[in-house]
Amino acid sequence: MKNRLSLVLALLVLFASACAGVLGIRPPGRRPFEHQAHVSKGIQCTKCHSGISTAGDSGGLHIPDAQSCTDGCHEKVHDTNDCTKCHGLAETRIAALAARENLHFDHAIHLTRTKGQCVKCHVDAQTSDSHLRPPMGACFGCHVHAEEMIDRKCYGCHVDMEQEKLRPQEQWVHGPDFMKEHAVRAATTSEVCASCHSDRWCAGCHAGRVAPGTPAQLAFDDPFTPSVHRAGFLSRHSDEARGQPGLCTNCHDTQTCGDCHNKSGIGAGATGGAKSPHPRTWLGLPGQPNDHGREAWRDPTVCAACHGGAGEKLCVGCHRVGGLGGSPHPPGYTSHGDRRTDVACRQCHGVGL
Amino acid sequence: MRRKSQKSRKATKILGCALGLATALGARSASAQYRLRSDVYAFGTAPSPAGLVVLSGQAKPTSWVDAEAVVWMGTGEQQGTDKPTGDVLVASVRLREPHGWGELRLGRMLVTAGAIRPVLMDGANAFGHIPKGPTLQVFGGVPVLPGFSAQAYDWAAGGRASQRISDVVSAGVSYLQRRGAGFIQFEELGFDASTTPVRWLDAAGEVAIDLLHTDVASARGSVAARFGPLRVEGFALHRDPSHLLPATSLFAAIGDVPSTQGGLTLALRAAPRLDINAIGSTDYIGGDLGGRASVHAILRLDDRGDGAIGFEARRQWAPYDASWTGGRLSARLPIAYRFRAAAEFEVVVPDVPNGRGDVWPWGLLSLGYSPQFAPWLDVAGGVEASSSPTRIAALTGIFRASASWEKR
Repeated sequence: MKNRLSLVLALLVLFASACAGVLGIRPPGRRPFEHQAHVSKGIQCTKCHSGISTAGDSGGLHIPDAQSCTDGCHEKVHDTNDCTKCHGLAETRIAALAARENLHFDHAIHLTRTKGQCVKCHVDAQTSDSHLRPPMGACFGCHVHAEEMIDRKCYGCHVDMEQEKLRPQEQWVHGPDFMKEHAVRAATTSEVCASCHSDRWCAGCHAGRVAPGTPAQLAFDDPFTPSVHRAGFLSRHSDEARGQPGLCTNCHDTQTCGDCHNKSGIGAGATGGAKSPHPRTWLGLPGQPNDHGREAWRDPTVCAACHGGAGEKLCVGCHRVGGLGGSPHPPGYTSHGDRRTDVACRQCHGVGL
Repeated sequence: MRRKSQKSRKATKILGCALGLATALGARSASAQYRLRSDVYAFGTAPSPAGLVVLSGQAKPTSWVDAEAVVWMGTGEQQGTDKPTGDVLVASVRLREPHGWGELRLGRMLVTAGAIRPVLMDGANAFGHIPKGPTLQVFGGVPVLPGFSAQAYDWAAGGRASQRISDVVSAGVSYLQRRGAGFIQFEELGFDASTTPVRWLDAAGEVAIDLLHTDVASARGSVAARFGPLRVEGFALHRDPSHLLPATSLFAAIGDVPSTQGGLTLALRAAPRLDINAIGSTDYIGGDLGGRASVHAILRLDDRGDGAIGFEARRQWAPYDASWTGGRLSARLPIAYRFRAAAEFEVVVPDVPNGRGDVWPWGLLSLGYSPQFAPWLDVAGGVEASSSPTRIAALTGIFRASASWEKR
C-alpha cells in the first residue's frame, strides 16, 4: 500500500515537472546569469563576450561558452556539467537572437561611440541579472528619432514589424478576441495602428470582393495567422451571420454572397438547376409557416446579398402596395423615408401610393 | 466582344502601372528602401483547378515619400470565374511633410476615419496636424468596384476632426457621404472617443448615425483593465442592419430591428507559455435572446513561439435554428532542416441540422520549407478536407511558392 502511494506520488511529481517544463515555468535550479555580480567586480563585458566589439549587423551572438568561464577565472568548477546548463536563461538567448534577426544594430559602431561602456545601453546589467536587452527607450537617450517617429519610419531599425510580431506591451493586447475589439480602438487612434500596419493589412479583410483571399486562406500553412473566417467558416457562415445581424457589411458589399452562390448553383441568380438555400418553411401563404419575413426584419443585409438589384423585383412582386404579400414592414416600423422621393420606398409604393 | 477586350486591355494597363509603381519608386535612388514579394498559389480542386498570383511591394525612395501596392491575378473556381481575372487591392503613394504637420495619400487605399465605415476608394486622403491643436482629415474619390468596373456619378467624400488632450483623452467627429449612380446611398455622422486615465485602464467608444433616416446605424463601447497577467474587457455593441445598407436598396426599407450585444472578455497569461482567453456575451436580436461563449488556449512549445498548440471551444445560441457548438485544434511545429508542419482540425455540430448534415468536420495539413541556400524562397503545400452543408466530401490540394526581395 505504502509502495503504491509512493509510486503515485513519484508519478505526480514527474507529471508536474513535465507540465512545468512545457508551460515554461522555470525549474528552481536554473537562474539568470550573474551579470550584476560580474559588473560590480569591474569585469569588462568584452572579457567574456569576446568579439562583440567588432560585431556588425550580422553573424554570431557572442554569447560566452563554458570555456570562456574557466579561462583564467573560474578554474575550479563546482560541477562537471556545462556552466550554461544552469547559469543563464534560454529566454535571454532567445531575446538576443530575436534582436539579431529583427533589428538593424551594429555593436562595433556603438561601442566606439560609448568608449567601450556597454552599461550605457545595458543599464539593467548593474542592478539585475535578467532582462538585459535594452528597452527601446534606451535608444532614445542618444537617438532622438523625432522625425522618424512622426513619419512612422521604423524600418531604419526594425527589419519588418509585422514579421517581427511585435505586440503592444501595455495598451492593447492583440489576443484572439482582438478582431472584435480592433474597430473601436482603431477609430480614435488609427495612427497607432499605422505604426506597424500598412494599408494592405486593413484592406486584406475590409476590401471584400477586391481582396484575392482572406489572410487565413493565403497563409494556409500557419494556423495562428490573425484572420477572419478561419477553418471551416464556409460550413457555418449562414449560422454565424444570423447570430450577428449586419456584421458582414463591415467588409463585404451586398453582392459578395451572390457571386459565390451563383457560382455554386445556390440562390436566386444561379443558372442551370439552381437550388434554394432556404428551408421549406421559408415561404407560405397566410396561415402557413412563413419564416422569410421575420428573417428579413432581423437582417435585411443577408437578403440584399442575393436578391439585391434586379432580384428586388422578387419581393416587390408580392409586397407592393395592394399586393398579395401585404405590408413587409414589422409592427412599429419607424422609417423616416419619403415614399414619394426615396428610391427604396418608391419600388413598392410607386408615386402617390 | 470588343467591349470585353477593351476591359481586358484596361485591366492589364492598370495592373502594369500598379506593379511598376512600387518597383520604379524602389529603384529610384541608391538610398531607397524597398521590399517586393511574389506569392504564387495553386488550388487543386477537381474538376476545376485554380491559380493565383499576388504581387506586393513597398518602397521608401526618400524620407517624405513612400508607396505600396498589392496586385493579383487569378483564374479558376477559387476566384469565382473560369476566365482570367485580376484586381488591385492597394496602390498608393504617400507624401509627408517632414515635420509631421501633414500628409497626402493618392491612389487606391482603404480610408478609415473614426466611427464611419471604412471605404476602399481611388482618390485622395489628406491629413493636417496643427501643433497642440486639432487634426483634420479630408478625403474624396471613387469607391472601388471589383474587376475594374466603374459606375457614373459614383463617389464618396468625407472627413474627420479630432483632438487629443495630453495622452489621456482623444475625441473625434467624422462625416461620410457616398453616392451611387448619382443617388445618395449613405450619409453618416460619427463620434468617437478614447481615454487612458491610468496605465491599467482604458476605454473607447464610437457611434455612427445614419443621417438619411436619423437613427443609430452602429455603436460600440469597450472598457479594459489589466491586473498583472489578467486583462478584463467589458464591451457592448449595437447594430441596425437596415441602416448599414445603401439607402437605395429595397431592403433598407423593410424593417429597422436592431441587435444589441454585451459581454465580457478575459485574457490570462496562465503560465509563461500558456495564454487563455474566454469570451461570453448575450445578444438581443429583434426581441429574441441569444449569446455566445468561447474559450481559446495557446500553448507555445518553445520560448520563441515557433511551435505552438491551440485549442478552442465555441458555442453560439441564436434564435431560429442558428445555434451551434464547435471545437478546433491547431498546431504549428518546426521540423528539422528548416521544414515546418502545421495542422488544423475543426468540428461543428449544428443544433438543428435541417438537412445540412449532422456534423461539419474540416481539416488542413500542411508542410512548409524555407531552404537555407535560398532564404528569399519559401514553399508550402497542404491538403484540405471537409464535409459541409453543400458538399458531403471535398478535398483540395494547395501549394504556395513565395519569393521576396528587399533593399534596406
